[in-house]
Parts: sequence; C-alpha cells; structure tokens
Amino acid sequence: MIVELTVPVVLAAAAGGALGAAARFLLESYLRSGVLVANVLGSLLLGIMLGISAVSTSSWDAAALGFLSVGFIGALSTFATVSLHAAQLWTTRHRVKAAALWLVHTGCGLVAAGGGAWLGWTLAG
Amino acid sequence: MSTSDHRTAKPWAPHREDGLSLGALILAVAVAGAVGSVLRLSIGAPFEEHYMKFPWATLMINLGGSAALGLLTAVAHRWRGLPSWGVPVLGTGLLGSFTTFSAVMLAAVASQQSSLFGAVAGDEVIPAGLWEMLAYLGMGMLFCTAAAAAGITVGRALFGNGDEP
Repeated sequence: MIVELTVPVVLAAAAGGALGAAARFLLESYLRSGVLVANVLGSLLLGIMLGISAVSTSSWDAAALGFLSVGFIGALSTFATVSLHAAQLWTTRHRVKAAALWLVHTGCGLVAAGGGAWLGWTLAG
Repeated sequence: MSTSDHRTAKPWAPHREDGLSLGALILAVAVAGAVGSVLRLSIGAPFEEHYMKFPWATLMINLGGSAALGLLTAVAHRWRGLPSWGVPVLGTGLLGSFTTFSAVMLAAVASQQSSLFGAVAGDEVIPAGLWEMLAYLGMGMLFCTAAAAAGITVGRALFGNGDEP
C-alpha cells in the first residue's frame, strides 16, 4: 500500500479527504463521541484494506488507494482533535480523564485496526 | 469572553444563526478537508514512511496539526474578529484532516504481524517489537497533547487580555 505522489493520486486524495472531513464533521456535530467513532471507523477500514493487500496478489489502483487510504480514511480519522481535548482536560486538572481519553482511543483503534486486518485477510484469502 | 473558556470540545453549534447555513458549512469543511489531506500527502509522501519502523512523518504532521489546533482554539476564544465558521472549517476541516489516526494504528498493528508488515514496509525494514511500538505510541500521544497545550498557551499569550494566567 505505497502511495505515490502523482496528479491523479493528489486529486483522488482531495476528493476522498473532502468526503472524510464532511463525514467526521457530521459525526462530531451530532454524536457525543463522534471523534471516537470516526477514529475507530477509520482504523477498521484501513485495517480491512491492509488485510486484503497482505493476501491479495493484485495491487490497488493508485488513484483508488489515494482516494480511500490517504483521502477518505485519512481525513475521517484525526489526531489533532484528540490531542486538543486531552490537553484541555489535562490543563483543567482532569488528568485521569486526559489519560483515559487517549487510552480509549488507542485501545479501540488498535482493536479496530487488528480486527479489520483479520476481516480483510479472511475475506480476500 | 466566558470563563468556561477551553473546556468544551465543540465551541460551535451545528445551526448557528450568525454564520453560514449548515449546508454551506459542510461544503466549506469538505473543501478544507481536501486541502488538509493533500497537504498531509505532499508533506508525508517524500519521507517514504514505508522504509521506517514507525510513521515518523505522520507523527510530525500530527504534532504540527495538534499545535496549530491548540493555537486556533485559543485565538477563537480570545479574538472576536474570527468568524463563527473559523473553528469548524480550519479546525475540524483543515487540521482535523491534516492529522490522522488510522495510519498510526495500522502501523502499530502491522509491526506485530510479519505478513501485514510486508504489505506496508520495504523488505529491509525490521519491525518494531511490542514494547518498542507501545513506547512510540505513548510518545506520540504525549508529545501531541503537549503540542496542543503549547498551542493554547501561545494563542493566549498573543491574543490574551491578561485575565487568566
């Protein structure tokens, strides 16, 4: 899953990124844990893609890879919002909550990524 | 400015009367997301992370994005000149899409499974062990949180009116 920097890939990443950002914005606006849902969903989807490419002999089309992995999934999942929220909790002395926020995100993210990889692996293999 | 300052993660409401309509706001967030994704791709790709044990370029992107979001949040709370769409478009759209979480999780999972690792990395890369990977992850979380806090502090210093330390 190596992304090369070409014009079609950049355009595909832009289109996917627009969709991913809009989806995350809606999740964040209407769900209390919208960012967590977006990050878990992103990890799951990228896991499925990786699981498929680990067993599949055919490689991804470069533009499709740019659209999905860099664009949609990359923009759907986010780091900065979690960092900011953790920093706000930490500086307002909710330090256990700040640590818990990261542990929940990383724990759920790792499980989703691993589960997705297994799923993609099983489906493609 | 209110004293509840930076406590809420969502300083904007989905339907805000003084700003853009919801449809226009979603469109603006989408455009900003496209810009953020292309920035991430064009900054990250030349580093060729597939030859690395850990996505270091993504970590740098996440560090920069976290610091910038901290700065933006502080500025948004202190500077009335920022339009109401500033935080959703620049924060959620641009910086939210610029930084990414899934690639970090996948790199961590792939490092623990050789056939998965083969799908992401070059042949000459030795995958990180479990504790090494956990250390990288912890470092990433800690530093990005610190970067966001630093961004808030800088924003307060630049736009503050001295009512808070």
